[in-house]
Amino acid sequence: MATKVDVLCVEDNEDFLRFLSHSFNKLEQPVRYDLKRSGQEALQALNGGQGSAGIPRMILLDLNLPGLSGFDVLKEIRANSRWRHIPVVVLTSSSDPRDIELAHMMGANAYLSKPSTLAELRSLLESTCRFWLEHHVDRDKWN
Amino acid sequence: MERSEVDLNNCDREPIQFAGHIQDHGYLIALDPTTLLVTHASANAAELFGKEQLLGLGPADLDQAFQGDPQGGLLRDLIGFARRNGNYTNNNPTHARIAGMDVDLVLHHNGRRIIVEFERRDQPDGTLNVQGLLGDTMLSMQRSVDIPALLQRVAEQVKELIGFDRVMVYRFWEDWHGEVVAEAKVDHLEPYLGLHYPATDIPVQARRLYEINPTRLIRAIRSEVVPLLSREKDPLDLTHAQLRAVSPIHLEYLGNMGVNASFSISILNKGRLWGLIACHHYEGPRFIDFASRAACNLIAQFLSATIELKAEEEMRQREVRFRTANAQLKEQLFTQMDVIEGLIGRRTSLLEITDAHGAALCFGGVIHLVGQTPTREQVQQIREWLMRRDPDAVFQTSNLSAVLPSAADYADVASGLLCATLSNEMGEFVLWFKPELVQIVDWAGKPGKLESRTDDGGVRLSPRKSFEKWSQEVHATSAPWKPAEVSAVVALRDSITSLLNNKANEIRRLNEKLRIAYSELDTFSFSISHDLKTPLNTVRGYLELYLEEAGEVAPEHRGLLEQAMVNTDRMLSMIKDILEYSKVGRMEMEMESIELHALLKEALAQIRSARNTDGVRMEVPAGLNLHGKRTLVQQVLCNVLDNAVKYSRKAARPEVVVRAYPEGTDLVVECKDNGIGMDPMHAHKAFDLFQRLDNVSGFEGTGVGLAIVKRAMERHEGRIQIDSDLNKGTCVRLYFPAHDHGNQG
Repeated sequence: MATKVDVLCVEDNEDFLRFLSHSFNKLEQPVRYDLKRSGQEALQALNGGQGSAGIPRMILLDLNLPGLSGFDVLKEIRANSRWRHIPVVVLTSSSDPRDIELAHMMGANAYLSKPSTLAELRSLLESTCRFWLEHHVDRDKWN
Repeated sequence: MERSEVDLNNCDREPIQFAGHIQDHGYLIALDPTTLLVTHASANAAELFGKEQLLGLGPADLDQAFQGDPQGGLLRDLIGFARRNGNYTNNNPTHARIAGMDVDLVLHHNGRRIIVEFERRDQPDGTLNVQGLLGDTMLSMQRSVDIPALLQRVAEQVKELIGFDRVMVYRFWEDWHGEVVAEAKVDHLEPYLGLHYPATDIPVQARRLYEINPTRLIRAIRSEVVPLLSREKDPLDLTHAQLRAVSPIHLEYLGNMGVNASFSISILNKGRLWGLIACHHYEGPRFIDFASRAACNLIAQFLSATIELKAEEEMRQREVRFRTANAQLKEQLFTQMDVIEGLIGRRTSLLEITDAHGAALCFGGVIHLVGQTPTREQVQQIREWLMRRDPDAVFQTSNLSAVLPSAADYADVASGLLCATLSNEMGEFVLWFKPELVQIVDWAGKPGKLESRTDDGGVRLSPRKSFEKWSQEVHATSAPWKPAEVSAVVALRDSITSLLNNKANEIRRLNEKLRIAYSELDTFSFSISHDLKTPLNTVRGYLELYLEEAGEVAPEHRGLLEQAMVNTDRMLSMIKDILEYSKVGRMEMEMESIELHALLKEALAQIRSARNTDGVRMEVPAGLNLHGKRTLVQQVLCNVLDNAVKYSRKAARPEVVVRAYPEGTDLVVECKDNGIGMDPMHAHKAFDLFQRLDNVSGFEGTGVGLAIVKRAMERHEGRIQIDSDLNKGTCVRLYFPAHDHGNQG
């Protein structure tokens, strides 16, 4: 399936969405990203529904979401053969060890805490995207 | 039973109401209530009626003997009248003349027989001027202010009334021993006032007779006794008879005192024998006729009523006194909220709820004494004995040395012990002491006046001997504890235990509240910090965003925004530390054995990379283990090392030394630096949350690090100690409690 986005971000906090888009826009390597405000919206987009930008190459997922939680979304993604391969990076403010463990058990590829500065956020996105997009693309090709 | 068989050892079993004899100043016949035929007659009665013998005769045969009786049926009429009225005694006495003698007929029914007694009235001193004296007596009795004065008055009045040489009021104590409490006598007689008699002097069946038949005359102790004749086997019950003969042991007793005639009147209190008016006459026989005896009985009845009233009043007053004192003690206890202060430190002392002469309070490991008591060491012995004995809530004895032999040493002050147990485990008691009774009697000096005139060895019964016997019997015995005293002590004990429970409950309640508050505070600080973090992060983000997006910003404006960012960062790190601190309090403590050397090396590596320093010297041998939660101990070590490095980095030659060694049962980790140090006066504040001492303004930090260390040490049941001097350095010692920190070789 044609891919129009690199990163699908699922995040309900408007402020953080803003910081995210600001930081994405400042990345050295441009990244195509799509922002979804709830789990439902994200799953719709993945399904090719309204506002879909196709299957992303990576998903940045918050855990505390209205309606479907990040865990629910993660479960859907891992249960679906078309999406199973997509790397999911959890980006959340929770540092509860139980959340971390659960996320990993459910198939998250990485678990990151939301940083407290924009500078940190930008470098976090920079390294995360480089790792998961570039390396993963390669691996995709090999598969 | 033959009369001679009775002696001191068995006189309490002597069936004195079935004496089988009467005194010789009268005659007695008993009739079958159905047939009205004579079943018993005194040996002298046949002669009175001018017959050979009386047994089997009827009233008609007997009535012939009465003189000056025109109707000629005196006995028949009296009995007939009594049977119709169902009362045999109401008309006593009936005057009659028989065999040339004036006699009083006295009737009664003993349940099985009608008994008719004939008292001769032709005897000297027989009739008294009762009417005139009686009114005066009642009046003066009424005017007496208290029981002792009343009793003295009664003794004097009765003596005047009957003209005996000695009239005593004899009072029974709770244990039935007796005391002479009032006495009127002719001058030359030795006084018996104040003497005590053992209970055996008036045995139980004699006391019962006194209760039933209130007056008792022994006209002449040396006169012959007259036997009763009968064809029946069963002896005649003479309980209510006036003429009943006297027990030989009692006659001997009286004889030893030189008494020739005796008269006694019972004083009852609520139907129970309270005492006797005992009258002795020394010169020859003495008769009191029935009417005069009845008058004396009237006085005794009036006395009984008055005593009952006054005794009740005294008892009531005593109870009121005890209750008032008790109420005051209770108030003192609950105002002071302190047992010792409440019971002995205020106006009303614990001594006042009883008639005890002394008291001791064993409480909180200290013995407090009030009034006349044994020594502190002796009270301590009593306390230890009580603890072994494990007494009930209230324990009492009036003869302590019988159960605690060593108490004989101080029997004079503490023969009586009343104990309220507060806590036997802790040996906490309240004790009241009563002195030995004999001591009180001797102190009063009364028995000392007695001359042992009758004590010539040949006399086995005498007041003096009785007193000696009683003294021996009651040796080391106190006056008994009255019910009012015991209930006062029970009430006081309730007050004390309720105070103690209140205090204990209050502490428990506060502790529980504190525990809940702490846990709530932890939860609260955790959630509030967590909730604060997000908006604060957002604020910081927007500040950054502004600086990046706004393009050209004037440097002074940029400075303002940067200042805002610095403070936001500061607040964020405080929140992070609070979260950390609260986490230490809430975390599960999975304990394991940790090798200290390895753990310290890890911590040092962290510090070295963070602080970029090499100035830490580790002098810790390998093989020391401590028991703890690994991550937490690591955090503790990092915090302590980090502080040491941080606060010594401005020294000319920064030096941090870490050592570890066992001390007692602890494993000590010591970290010593040569940094800025702390004012020892304020060093303790270093453990408080967000407390930063004055001299650290040039160093980064939020003031949470040591608070976390302290909390972490508490979670390990260890402790932290800081020795510090301003500008000289700080030495932190961490004490981990012993588990398995020995060398593992």
